[in-house]
Amino acid sequence: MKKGKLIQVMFTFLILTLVISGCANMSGKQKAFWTGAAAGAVIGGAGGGAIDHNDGYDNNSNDDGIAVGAIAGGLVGGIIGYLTYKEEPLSPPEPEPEPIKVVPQPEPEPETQPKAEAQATPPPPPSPPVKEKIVLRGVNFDFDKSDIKPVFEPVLNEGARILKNRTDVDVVIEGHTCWTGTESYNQKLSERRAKSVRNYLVGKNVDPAQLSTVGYGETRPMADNRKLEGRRMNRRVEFSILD
Amino acid sequence: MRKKRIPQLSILAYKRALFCFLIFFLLVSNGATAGFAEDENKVLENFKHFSHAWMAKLSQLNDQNQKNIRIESSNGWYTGQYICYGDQCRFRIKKTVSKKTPYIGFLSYSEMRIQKAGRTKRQAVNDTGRVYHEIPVTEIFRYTDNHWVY
Repeated sequence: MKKGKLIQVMFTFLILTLVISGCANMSGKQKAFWTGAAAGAVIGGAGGGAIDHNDGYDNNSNDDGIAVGAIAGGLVGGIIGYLTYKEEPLSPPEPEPEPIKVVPQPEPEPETQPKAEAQATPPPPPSPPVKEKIVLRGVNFDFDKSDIKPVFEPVLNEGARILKNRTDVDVVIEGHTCWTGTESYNQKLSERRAKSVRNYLVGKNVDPAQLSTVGYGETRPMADNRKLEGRRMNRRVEFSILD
Repeated sequence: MRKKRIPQLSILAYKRALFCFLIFFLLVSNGATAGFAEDENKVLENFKHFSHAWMAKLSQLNDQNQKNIRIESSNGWYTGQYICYGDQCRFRIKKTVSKKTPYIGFLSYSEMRIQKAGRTKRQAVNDTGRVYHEIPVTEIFRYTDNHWVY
């Protein structure tokens, strides 16, 4: 066998061995065998060729030495690889991921409307005893005054007329101020003005037994006191008609 | 001496004078009535605009009241109350005998007390609320010096 051809056979063998050893379906020992065989064939072939070349008897025997060396080396290498292969302990299987605990959650309540159940809403606060309200506007007293001006009279007269037709109801005349001035001053002022209106109504033949007065001062604003408009709305006299 | 001639009206002339006076009276009285009606319509129209402006103010108050609601916790609930004025209104005017205040105006609407509630503060704030008390309100305004006073 010629030297070039031998090398070609060895190279093909080596490639074939590497390809086979790379097979995914082979076991670890099989791979070790073929890897060892490949390495042994190369080393054995090289060694056999060297020995045969040095003896100097025959030119053709060099080729035979390489072949014998390669086969012997391949076998020995394969056996060594097979025997020395140690099964690597299999890595323990990765623990399965912890199952996600799905805690059953109650259905979220709609934010806008609680459920229509017995306990869906809290009891409402007690209703005020007022069943109707009459607000007298434009009864704007001068500073620190509580006297009734002629321009107020049409409004107060209408209030008197309504109350004279409603003799079955009790009426609280409420005085309200804005927050201009001190709290205590506004409290007393609102009381004086409520009484002044009551006196006028009684003078117009409204039954005094129907009427009571209260001053709320600045404590019950209906609008924003920080604005002029709001302060004007807050200065008022109200008739609260009770149940 | 010549006698001074006294002019005498014939019956026909009397009738003519009476007829003219009647026509004049009818025209004047009719004009006055028309003027009064025109005046009242004008004041009513004026009060209509005033009422709409007033209701717009109340609508702003509704927003403020709802925004400034105080939510408090009690018995496992968060609750808050606020006052809301209804957007429907009725209005009318009435003539008075006063020269300074010839008209008064009536504006009627409803005042509602609304409670918001929830198991959490957030739920209570987002609650649309329930009316737990509603009363009719009538506001009486005066028309003095050609404008509505409050």
